[in-house]
Amino acid sequence: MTGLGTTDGFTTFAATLAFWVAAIASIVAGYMMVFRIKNLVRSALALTTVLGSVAMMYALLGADFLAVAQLVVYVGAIMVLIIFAIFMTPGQIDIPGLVGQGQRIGALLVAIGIGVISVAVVITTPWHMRDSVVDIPTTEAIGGLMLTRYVLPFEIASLLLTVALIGAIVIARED
Amino acid sequence: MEFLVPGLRHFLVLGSILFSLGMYGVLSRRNAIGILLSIELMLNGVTVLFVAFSRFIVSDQELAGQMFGIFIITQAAAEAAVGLAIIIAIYRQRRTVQVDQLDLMKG
Repeated sequence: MTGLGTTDGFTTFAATLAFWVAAIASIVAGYMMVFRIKNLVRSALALTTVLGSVAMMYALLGADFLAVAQLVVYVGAIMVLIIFAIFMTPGQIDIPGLVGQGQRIGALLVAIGIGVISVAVVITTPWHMRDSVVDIPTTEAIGGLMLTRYVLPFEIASLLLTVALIGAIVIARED
Repeated sequence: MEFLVPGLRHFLVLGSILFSLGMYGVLSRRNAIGILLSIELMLNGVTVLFVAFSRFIVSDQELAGQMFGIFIITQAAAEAAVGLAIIIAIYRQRRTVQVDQLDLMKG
């Protein structure tokens, strides 16, 4: 079963093309970001590519609200915050920024180990899948859930954001 | 060409690959901001998994995975704000954000 919620030939083709473009873009950008690019500003731009491609994945998965939230919050806000932080720590941008050879090999082994194990597990597990998927607008349902079943996590998240932002101001303030 | 059409496993493999790339970045970067960037990569890989499960797996709670995704984005915003504030405060005091030079508490 495909996850597209459609049997129309052209829509399937367009969605498949969009998936592969976004998947390859995100993996190549992620690879460049951690393996190739030394300059932090360029790494941040590569991460922006990944975030945009992931927003495309959410759209393909029928999560329209989450796709827009990803673009607004991650690409719009968090990346600006990170680039500001890069600019406020001058002289640190171009430093090679990688640990020594030994730790790099260890890191590579850990990352490859986790990657191989999780890919093997997700491919071999017999998932109990739905018979069919339908694309419905999720924003209204998510709004309803936030004020009913998930009202406590929602309020805790609001409190967390308030505390985090006040804390950030207090920590970063010059005095 | 049926195998090219994205199904559950395509998204799961993509999320796993993003997570491992982020894991390597976290372990191999010396710059604290670079580590934060890699953590964002890991969080995005996990969120792709949540949303894919939410769409494909039989469940009596519709949209639970997407709610998780929203809360992950919320806490990523909080984490980035606090983390970057701490990094800027450290930079002001020590003039460096290389984590191997931040050995103030070393005995």
